[in-house]
Amino acid sequence: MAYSDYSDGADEIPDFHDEGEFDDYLNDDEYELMNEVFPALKTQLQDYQGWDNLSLKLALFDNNFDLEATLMELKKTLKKKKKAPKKSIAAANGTGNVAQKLANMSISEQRPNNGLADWLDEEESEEGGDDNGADDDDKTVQRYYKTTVPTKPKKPQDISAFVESSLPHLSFVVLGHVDAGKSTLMGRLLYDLKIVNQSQLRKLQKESETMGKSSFKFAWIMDQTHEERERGVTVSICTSHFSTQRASFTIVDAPGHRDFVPNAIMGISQADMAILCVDCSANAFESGFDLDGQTKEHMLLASSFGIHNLIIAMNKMDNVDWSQQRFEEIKSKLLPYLVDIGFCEDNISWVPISGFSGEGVYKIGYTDEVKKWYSGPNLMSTLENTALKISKESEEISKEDAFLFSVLEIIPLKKTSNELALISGKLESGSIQPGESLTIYPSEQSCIVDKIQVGSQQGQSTNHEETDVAIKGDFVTLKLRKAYPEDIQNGDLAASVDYPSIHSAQCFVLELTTFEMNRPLLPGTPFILFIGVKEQPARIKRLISLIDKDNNTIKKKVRHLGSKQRALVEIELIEVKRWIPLLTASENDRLGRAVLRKDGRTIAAGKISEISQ
Amino acid sequence: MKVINLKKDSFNKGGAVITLLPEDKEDLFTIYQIVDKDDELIFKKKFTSKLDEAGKKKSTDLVKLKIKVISEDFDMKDEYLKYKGITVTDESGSSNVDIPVGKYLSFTLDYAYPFTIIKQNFNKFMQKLLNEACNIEYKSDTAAVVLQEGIAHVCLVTASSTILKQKIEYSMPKKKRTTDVMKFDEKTEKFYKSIYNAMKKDLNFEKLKTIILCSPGFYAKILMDKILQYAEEEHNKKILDNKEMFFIAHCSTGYLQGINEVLKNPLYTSKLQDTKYSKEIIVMDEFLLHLNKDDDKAWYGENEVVKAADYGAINYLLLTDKILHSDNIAQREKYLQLMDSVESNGGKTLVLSTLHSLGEELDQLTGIACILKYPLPDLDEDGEE
Repeated sequence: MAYSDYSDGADEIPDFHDEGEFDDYLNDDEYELMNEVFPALKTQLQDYQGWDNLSLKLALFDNNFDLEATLMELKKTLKKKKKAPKKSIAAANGTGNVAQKLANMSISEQRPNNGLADWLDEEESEEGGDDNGADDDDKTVQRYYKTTVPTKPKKPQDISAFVESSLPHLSFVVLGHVDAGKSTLMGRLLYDLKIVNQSQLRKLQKESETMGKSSFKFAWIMDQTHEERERGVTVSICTSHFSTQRASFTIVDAPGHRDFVPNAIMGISQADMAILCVDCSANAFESGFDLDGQTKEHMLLASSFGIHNLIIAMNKMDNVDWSQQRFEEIKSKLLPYLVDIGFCEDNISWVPISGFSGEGVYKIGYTDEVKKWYSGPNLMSTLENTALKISKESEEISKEDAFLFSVLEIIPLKKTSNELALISGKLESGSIQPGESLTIYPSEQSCIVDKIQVGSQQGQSTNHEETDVAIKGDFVTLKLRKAYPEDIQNGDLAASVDYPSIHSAQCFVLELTTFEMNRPLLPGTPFILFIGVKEQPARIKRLISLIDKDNNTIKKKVRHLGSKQRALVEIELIEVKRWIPLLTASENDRLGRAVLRKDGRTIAAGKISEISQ
Repeated sequence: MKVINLKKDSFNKGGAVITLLPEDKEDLFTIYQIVDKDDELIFKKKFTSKLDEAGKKKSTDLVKLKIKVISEDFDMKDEYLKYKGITVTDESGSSNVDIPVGKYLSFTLDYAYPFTIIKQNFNKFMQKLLNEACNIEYKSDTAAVVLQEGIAHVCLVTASSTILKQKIEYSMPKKKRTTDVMKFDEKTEKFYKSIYNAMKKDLNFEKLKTIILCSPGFYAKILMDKILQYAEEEHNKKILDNKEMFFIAHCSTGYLQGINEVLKNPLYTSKLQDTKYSKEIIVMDEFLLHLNKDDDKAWYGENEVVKAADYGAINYLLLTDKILHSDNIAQREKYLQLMDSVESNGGKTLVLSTLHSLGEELDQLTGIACILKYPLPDLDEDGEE
């Protein structure tokens, strides 16, 4: 039932007027096959309406007499329109007409779903001109085939054995104020790991020198776009994978500039831990640490999104002659703040480094001068140690958990293959193997995982390895069958088909903690809401009550919410053309968290406590 | 808008007969706020009547009709205002000739013919609306393009509404160490091009005074460069001749909220002309500031505001057009009296349009709020009992 087998020929089936005519068209083998499968299909479909014998037979024929595939397809179409004999014919014309079906669907999708992934037709992304937030009443909900019955993996693997045999995997995000040297540090790491070779670096050096920015050569390994290089700032997050003998890593380089905090949030939400890059040069730390610097905001975000482990990379130590005094001075200022916002002192490691010269990063060791006062491991060893620690902590849990996957990107396929989709993202919990089924929310479409690819995805080319199993924390690309990629977006959630409780909603209750704000939160106050990698304009619908740190109600009648308060608050999305999939914090610690930003500042963070239906 | 004739009824204090010619969509909104259910309209409409019984011969005439309003249908975005009503007897005999009384008819406003409104409850607020609508200075429109990576909104900001003309959304390829940069650039180029095309399609450059381009980072600046580049390429005189109307500003997000952020930023207010809306934003911001300070000078909710008004303490009264145009006539009267009382005590009233996001915000906040001249604590207290 692989589609490629027959999709080319499907167009050539002539039109049939009645059942007999079609029976004549079949050859003897096909006729016998048909009579074998047809009665079973008919009984299966008794609860559905809007089909006739001919349409069923055509559908069977289109699916190479595969009973299950036909059922799946027919149920998909028959269920959604209750009184639509016409639709069943469309369905019966089957795969030959899937393209047509897709077209219909995307037309009906355009109203509810403004942010249609535009890979299907690259020219088509200009839609939505007639839509705005105001006309949210007339939304139609597209229904897809959804099942709750899991399918068996093709080659079943023992998860615990796999977990034990593989290296611990850890993803980390690099944070810090703008120009603290985050990208340079990452470039240095990749160069020391020999992922970037000498000649590539030499090329970058030449390029950066011609633009008069020779100190950016390492940063340009990560910052590749024209805009980033010309302005010398990172804009988007950049992920990269590497492994050492002790662990494998995914690194996410985040932008430090305040305008790109939304991108940094995207990076934080993907990471298991964070490296905070601090510029130790004279005055540089201070300017990044004051009220408007991003050092504090990034740490606040990391803490709000449930990151517990921190490595502080005390960067540019060469600028201050590796002064222990400076090291301790910064530490004494930073540590109280970090503890104050919820980090545990034991989970913070401090490593002096120089990203540009490489000392303390990986290959280049400390000078004797430094060894006098710093005897700890270098950055790489610290990372490995943390990876082992975190993977030990999560090992027990990950075996039993149900599969949960957050979609980071829908990768456009060159040809519009029917019902095929490539989605890449991160496994938030559980495991997945080829052959198993999953359901994508909010579109609630059930798909079958065909292949799992790991490692770097390189545009259209396919130089990635396939794997038989992916587990919690892995970044993978899933090839799905029976999917409608035009209704999958970044930030959607995929879960095992029997996952009990993913709700799509536009309203939910947050246990909110407000930070320093210069305007209060009122019913109706608009802001930008971040949940995982989702970014959405939203507003306060209702202030429910003020609460203390143990969530006991202090005051019922709340007129407005000021700085540093805790409250139960109901939030609603402003552009409600498409609902978002939500999990409460008790269901998933990471995905059940949200952050509110307004006027370029992070104003509050909270945990989702209840999802309004 | 042209007010051709305004005659107040000498017997009935609130009555008035107004003949108007609307000229743009702002006027439609003004009319929408003035005309209530049960008002009477006299207008001209092309009316087809059957001359013979078989209905073969028809004649289409421009006839004068008079209806009593039953319902209305308004869409600012499409510049569309339609009244449904039922024909009534016209004492003067000049309208509804040959048309029976009690016939259901609809009237879609256009800018070609004047029409007449007969109201029984014409009030000061409506008078003010009319005056404003006739004032050309209120008419200048501002366009705004607010964008971030992969998302852009092309909008028109008028005195009474923010109209989203087009939302452009591109899913940018995620950056990876191995990403093909060419591909990324290609997609970026496409993104800017489609913003440019949207602007060409949806904005009338000759009528606009200012076009605000705003974004976090450098996207607005790049967009400006791209617009000029594309305009040069196709010799688009409309844009090239009006270069000075573009205004680049900084905001923190590419969603619509970014526009308000720019309009309330003191850095820009001096450069952007004083629009009615920007004034409203500043007053609303002041309201929020007082709330944040907890200085008991800002209150919202009907009970609280009415109490403050009784003390004569209101400096600014903020209302939405929605509550002034509600179907509950008693309610409406109450608010009008409230406005009167505030103004007679030296306060100012601002009616925020719910077609702006700001008015929507106030609407969520009970629709009524005030800033006081001096602090009045505990206005909400006995309301609880």
